[in-house]
Parts: sequence; structure tokens; C-alpha cells
Amino acid sequence: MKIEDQDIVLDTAIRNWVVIPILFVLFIVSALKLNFSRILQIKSNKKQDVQKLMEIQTLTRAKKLSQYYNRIPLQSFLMRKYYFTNKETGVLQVIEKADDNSPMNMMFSNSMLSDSSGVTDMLKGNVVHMLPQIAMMTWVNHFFSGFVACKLPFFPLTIRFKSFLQRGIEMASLDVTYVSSLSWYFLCWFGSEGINAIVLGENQLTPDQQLFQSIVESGPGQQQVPIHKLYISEKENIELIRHESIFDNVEERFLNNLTKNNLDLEFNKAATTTSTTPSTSSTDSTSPQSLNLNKLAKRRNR
Amino acid sequence: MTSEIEEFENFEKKINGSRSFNWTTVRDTLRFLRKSKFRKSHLVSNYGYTLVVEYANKLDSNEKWDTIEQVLVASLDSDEIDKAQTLLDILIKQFGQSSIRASRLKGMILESKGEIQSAIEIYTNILEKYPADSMSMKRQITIFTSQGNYTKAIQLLNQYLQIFMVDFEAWLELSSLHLRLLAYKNAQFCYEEIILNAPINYIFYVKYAEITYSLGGSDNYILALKYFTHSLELNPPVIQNQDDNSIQIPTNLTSIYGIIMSIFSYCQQNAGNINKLKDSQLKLMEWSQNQLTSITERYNPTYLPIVNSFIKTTKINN
Repeated sequence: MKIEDQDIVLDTAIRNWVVIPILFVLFIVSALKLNFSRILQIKSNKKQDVQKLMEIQTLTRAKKLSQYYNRIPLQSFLMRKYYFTNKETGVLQVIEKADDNSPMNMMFSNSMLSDSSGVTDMLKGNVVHMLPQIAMMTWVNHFFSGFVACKLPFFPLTIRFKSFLQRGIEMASLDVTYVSSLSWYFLCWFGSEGINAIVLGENQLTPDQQLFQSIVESGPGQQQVPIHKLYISEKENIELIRHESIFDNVEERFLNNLTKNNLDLEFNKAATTTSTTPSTSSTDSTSPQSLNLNKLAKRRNR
Repeated sequence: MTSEIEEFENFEKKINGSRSFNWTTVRDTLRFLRKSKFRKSHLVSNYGYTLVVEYANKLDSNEKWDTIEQVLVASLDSDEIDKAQTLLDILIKQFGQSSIRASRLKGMILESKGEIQSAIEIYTNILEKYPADSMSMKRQITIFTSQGNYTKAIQLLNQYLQIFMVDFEAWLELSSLHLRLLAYKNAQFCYEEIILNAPINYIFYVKYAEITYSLGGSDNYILALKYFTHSLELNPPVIQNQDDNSIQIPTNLTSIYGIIMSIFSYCQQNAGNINKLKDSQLKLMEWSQNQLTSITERYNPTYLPIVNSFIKTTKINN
């Protein structure tokens, strides 16, 4: 007789002493974890780093300068360029001096500049998440391994799920819907996150949102690129700028635009009016006017 | 912008229209005001106080504290310190004495009571613990400004801008302080910084041009002219199509006056010599004069003689 043909009768003690306790312990642990990480978070948020803030702001300001330099006069631009890039006291220069390109120094300055607090925060978070995980897994594996814990109802699963659902039981002929205790633990762990979020804290962020927030807060590429590299590239950007003002012939441009708009308007009017004669006369009347203006100005110039 | 104003008017109408106190309307209005940052202190302190005192448990627990803070500040704004004190007590009961936000509000209450010294102490304490707390820094600066101690305020504001150097509203404040001390050069620097931060706002260009004009000197007059022109470029004349003739209505009269005055002053500086001016500049002058007369004719004909005499005095080709 094949084993698939008949149902395996599971002991009710397994339900009472394995399935439900795992679920219960998992819930308690995740509740503790949430509160614990919340405490850690509050603590880590408390300290504000003026230095880091300043670095980001300096970078933004330098970026703005290299973007909109053509809107301020040459004199002012040179002043700012000097402020950012001069050899002795330039704001973007200081940090480059700190690392003498030797790898030891680089590493040192990296860890100094790219925020060490972020790294420790991450470490803390990992510890909080991983430690209970490991502990629970060893607990489940040690006490409850070697037997089937429960049977999934309703739907049949393909053979591929076997390694996922029957971890710890190597039995080729067992139906896939039977679940080992370790796998039950995994199932509960993945499944309970959403429920925990609802039950434990109303406005607790889901991991996705947390991730999102941490990215937004950390500013432009804080974690990956050390700030002195950004400084150097920004410095180069500013040094490369050849100042050209948008004000060089602003008057002509403005007047040209005006007459263009006027002509457009006339043209539109001409297009809308059905009779052609008045419209031609009006376009004719504008061009001599502007010609007259030109002549007038030239005469004055002489 | 207009749509936000209309939205606010709708809210106002709803509030004034309802006979009894409708707490949902008031909540929505306050929510809107928090978002849009309109300063309607009287309305907020009147209705909001009733909301947070009598309907407090109906509010969402997160929103409640924000609302209380908002009402508190508004009631300080409309000189109702007792109300503010009651609200502060509620906040302190919830968050304890150590909360920075609450202690900052306490500082503001002390300020409005006139106990400036203790307010400053509170802010300094906060800043010792949290050196990057921009709000407290700003409060300190406003205290010195209101006392008329501009040099001290400028000094503090410079410290603030050392850290928050892309906060262009702080640059605006700094430049207005410098203007009060008639330090045009410094104010000009501030406005350059502002223009870098908000490069498409035409008002800042007008202001920059005005400051540059005030500095004087023929180079500066030309620079001012260019900035005035650019402000018109960013905020171009609206073309209205009426009946048969189309009219261009400039939206910014200051710039037109500015253009005329800059060119006039430039010529004055150079003893009436217009040869150095470019063709386009002369044309611009003519255009501005025409615009000025036509605008005055259209909108304010009684001033026409004054404007005409202004144009006559600022004529350059005589």
C-alpha cells in the first residue's frame, strides 16, 4: 500500500505542543523585536550631526552654483568660485587635503566622513533582527525536528515545494501538503509580518517603507560614495565653468521676443479674420514702425 | 496660487456659514492651513481652540498634537496668552518637560509675555543639546531683530547660514537686515545667493536690480537695467486681445520704472552722453516710456500728468 493513498493521522499533542507554541512564540518575539528596535531608533535619532548637515548643504550650494552660475555677474561668480575652490581655504578643498591618497588614510577618512553612525545603526538593526531569528531556528530545529507537524488544507502543491515545506524530513514518498515544524516556523515568520504590523502598532512602518525612508533621509549617495569624492567632483565642475552671462544681450532678446509675439498676434488675427485686406494692412503697418524705430536709434547713435 | 486662495475662501465660508460648531469642517480647515502655510491666526485661535479643548478625543491621535501646536502658535499671534498657556500645559502633560518641541513653544510664550531673557535661556539650552535645531536658532535671531539689535541678529544669522546655506528664506532675512543697516553690498551678495537658489522667480531679480541701482555708479546702473529687463523676460507682458487692437500689459510696473531710471541715471553719470548706450537699450527706453503712458492711460488716467512729467524729466536725448 502506498503512503499517499491514505491520510497520516497526526497526534493532537503535536498540534498542542508544537504548531500552536511556535506560532505563539513567534508572535511574542516579533512584538518584542518591534518595541526594542523602536527604542533603538529613538536613541539613534536623537543625535544630530551638524557636520554631516553642513556637508550636504555645502554640496547642494556648490551644485546650485555650477547650475545657475550664468544668472549672477562675473565678479560675484569669481568670488564664489574662490570661496569654494581656492588652494588654501576653499571649502571644497579641505577634505581633499585630509587624505594623502595613501590607502590607510583613505580608509580612515572614509570612515570618518561617511557617517559611522549610519553603519552602527545598520549593525544594531541587523543584530536586533538576526539574533532572535537564529535563536528561534535552533530552538525549533533542536526540539521539533524529525516529524510532520501539520498538513496544509485545500490545494495540492507541486513537488518543487517539497524542499521548502518539508525541511528536515527526507522522505521522497511523503505528500507535499505535509509540513515539517521548521518549515511551519518559516511559513509563520513570513506570513505574520503583515498581521503583526496591524496588531502591534498602528503606524508602524512596514520594512519597505522603512527602507524607503532611510534612503530619503540619508541624502544624495551618502552611504555609497564618500563625501570627499563628491566634493572633488563638484570642485572640478566649478573650476571648469567658463562664465557666460545670460545678461549679455538681454535687452535685444527681450525686444525681439516682444516684436515676435506681436507679429504672432497679428498673424493670428489675420488668420482668424475672413477678409484679407485689413489684415495685410495691419502687418504692413507694424514693420515700417519697427524700421522707423531702428532708424531713429541709429540716428541718435551718431 | 489662486486656487489655494479660493480653497481657503471656501473653507472660511463654510465655517462662518454653519450655525453650530462643526468640528469636522474646522479640522479640515486647520489641516488645510497647516499645509498651505497661510497665516490666519485669528480664525485658527478662535475655532481651533474650541476644537482642541472640547473635541480633543474626536481627533486622530497623531493629528491632535500637531493641531494643538498650530492653535497655540496662532493664539500667540493674536495675543491670547492664556489660551496658549492652557494648551502648553496639555502638551507638557503628554510629552513631559524634556520635549524640545514643547519647550520651544514655552519659549515662544515667554517671548510674547515679554520675558525675553528666560526665552533666550530656553533656546540656548535646546541648542546646547541639539546644535542643529534650526527652529530655535531662528527664534533667537527674531528676538534680536525685534529688539532692534541688528548687528547681533546678523551675527547669529551668519552662524545659522554657515550650517544651512541653502535656506534661501534665511538669506532673504539676512539681506533685509543688511538693507536696514544700508549695507547694500552685503544685501546684494545675499540676493545673488537667493537667485542661485530660486532662479526663475522674477521678483528676486527686481529686488536685486533695485539694490544694485542703489549702489550707484555707471556699471551698476547698466547691471540693474539688465536685471530689470530679465525680470520682465521671466514675467512677460500679458497680451490681451481686445476688439480690434491687441495690447501688451506688462505685469510688473516696477521693472518699467526701473529701466527708465537706470538709463536716466547712467546718462546723468556720464554727463548726458548717450553714445555709449546700445541701440537695444535706447529702444528699450522708448518702449518702457510708451508702456508707462499707455498703462497709466488705461488704468489710472488721473495720474497721467504726473507720469508725463516724470517721463519728461527723465528724457535722455536733449
